[in-house]
Amino acid sequence: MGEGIILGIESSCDETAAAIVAGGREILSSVIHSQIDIHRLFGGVVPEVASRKHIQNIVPVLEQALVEANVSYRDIDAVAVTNRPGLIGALLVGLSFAKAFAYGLNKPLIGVNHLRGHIYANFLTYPDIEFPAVCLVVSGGHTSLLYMRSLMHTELIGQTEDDAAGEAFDKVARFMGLGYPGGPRLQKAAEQGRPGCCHLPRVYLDRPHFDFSFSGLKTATMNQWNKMQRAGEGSVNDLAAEFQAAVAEILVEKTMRAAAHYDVPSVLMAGGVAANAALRERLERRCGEDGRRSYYPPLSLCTDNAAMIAGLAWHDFAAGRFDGLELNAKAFLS
Amino acid sequence: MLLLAIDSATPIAGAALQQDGVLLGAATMDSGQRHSAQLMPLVDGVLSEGGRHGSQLDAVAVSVGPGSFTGLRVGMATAKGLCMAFGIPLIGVSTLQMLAHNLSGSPELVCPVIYARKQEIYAAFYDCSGGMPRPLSAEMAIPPAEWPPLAQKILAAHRCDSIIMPGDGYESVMEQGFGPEGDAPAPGRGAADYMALPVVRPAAELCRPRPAALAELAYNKALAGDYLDYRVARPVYLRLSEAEYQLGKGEV
Repeated sequence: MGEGIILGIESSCDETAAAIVAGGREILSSVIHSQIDIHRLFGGVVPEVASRKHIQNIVPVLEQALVEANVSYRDIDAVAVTNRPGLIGALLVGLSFAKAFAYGLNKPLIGVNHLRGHIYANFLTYPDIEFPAVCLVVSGGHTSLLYMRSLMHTELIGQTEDDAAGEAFDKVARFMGLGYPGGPRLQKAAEQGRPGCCHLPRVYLDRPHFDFSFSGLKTATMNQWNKMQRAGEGSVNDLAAEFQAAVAEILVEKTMRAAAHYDVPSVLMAGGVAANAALRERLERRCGEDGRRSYYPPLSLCTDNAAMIAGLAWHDFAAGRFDGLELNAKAFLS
Repeated sequence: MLLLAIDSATPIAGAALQQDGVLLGAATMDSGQRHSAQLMPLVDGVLSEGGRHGSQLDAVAVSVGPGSFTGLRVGMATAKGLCMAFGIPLIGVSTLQMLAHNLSGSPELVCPVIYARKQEIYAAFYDCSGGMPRPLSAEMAIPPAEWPPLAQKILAAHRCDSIIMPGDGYESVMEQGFGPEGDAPAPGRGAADYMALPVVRPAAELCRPRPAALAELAYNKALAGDYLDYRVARPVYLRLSEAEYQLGKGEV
């Protein structure tokens, strides 16, 4: 296997990103153009607006990634792009560009699963993670538990039946007037409050399966907030703390249960919500108690980025797994 | 000048290859929702059948809109990727003008109409009598009901006998239109009919966007040095996104 310099492109949601990664390990550049300020106006990501920004920004983002990595077109061995899952219109901008660019450079094209990219963010930082492992993928669009026999052999063992955890964060934060994006805003409020002001349900913790549900918890939190508003008492920070504690308990305890069931040495967390400090702290503590090693990516690699795409694609490149010009985007995995 | 033209603004996607104004080859597919899968194979096809390699290209032309928002971006993202990889300039051509060019040389008024969803059409009026389509109006996104009075006015101003309407928005105008006061047309009669407008529907082949027409219009732009900056170019949507519209903020 040669060094393999991969250009990665990511546009599955509201971040336009490009990165150059060598050998599946070394991040030569990782450029992210965030649209957060635009979508804040709407209180959430608007797919059409996101797509319009992607088409405007994709070339400058790519140019910056090439300049920062100090590589020329000749140095690039393959072009990798997120083609599933995500907002279909947003995915199509990155994919259409990547196909044409790879064709123009006469380099192989590699379509990448966004969720597996998030998981790979762990391996960019910790290349020697011991298998098998259990991984919790948790973001604004996904909440899934995976059993990993190896990097390329993963099995979905549980997922949310309704809202993704990040979605619940966003909706609850908006409802309580904490602003956008909900995750960081709610975490900030929670840090100034204390959990236990009321008891929010730990949905499904009493069930043996590895599936999640957050819509009941979301509704219970909103009801509690309405009750507090009517009574004119109680603190938004305390309710935020209780909500965050409930989410962290549900996510981490389910994950630890799966880790025990499969008896894995390593427990991983990935995705935008993996940036949540309370979640990180709880996972680390519980893994310590159970004698397993916990991993989560640095903050810069938790949110959407193209380095995780280029890094994971190197393994396909090394194995000679390429895609053709007819590669299409998919909003959903199945 | 070796020029590649690509279009995916409407349900029909296409590509054409042209050398110094002479068409080498063109292909279209009525691909509906599968533009992203079919556009690059079409590009590869016209290049290889024309016996040319992408690295020989001097420019890429794309239909910039109006049209399907997603389709426009698939076309423009593809064009940008090729321009950046080959280091060649981008030429943008209006989708409506490209359709009007199908009636090149016609002494009548030409009004291409593209179905725009949300009970609207994209339309513009052209004078094609001199060969190349000359715009007589701005490009518009309007409800079909607004079209007949407008057409009547332009028809009178230019003293033409009829209006030739290529494009896939024809049915929207003819069958879902309403009278100028908002009154419904008689059964079986559309708005244009209602106002006794002399509308002519051309042969099916002339109703479709043709990448060869796109290439020809683009070649003229290239000769005039009329290029887009592919780094920051954006499609011509003519409409805000629904969310921006609701917010009353945004740029088209």
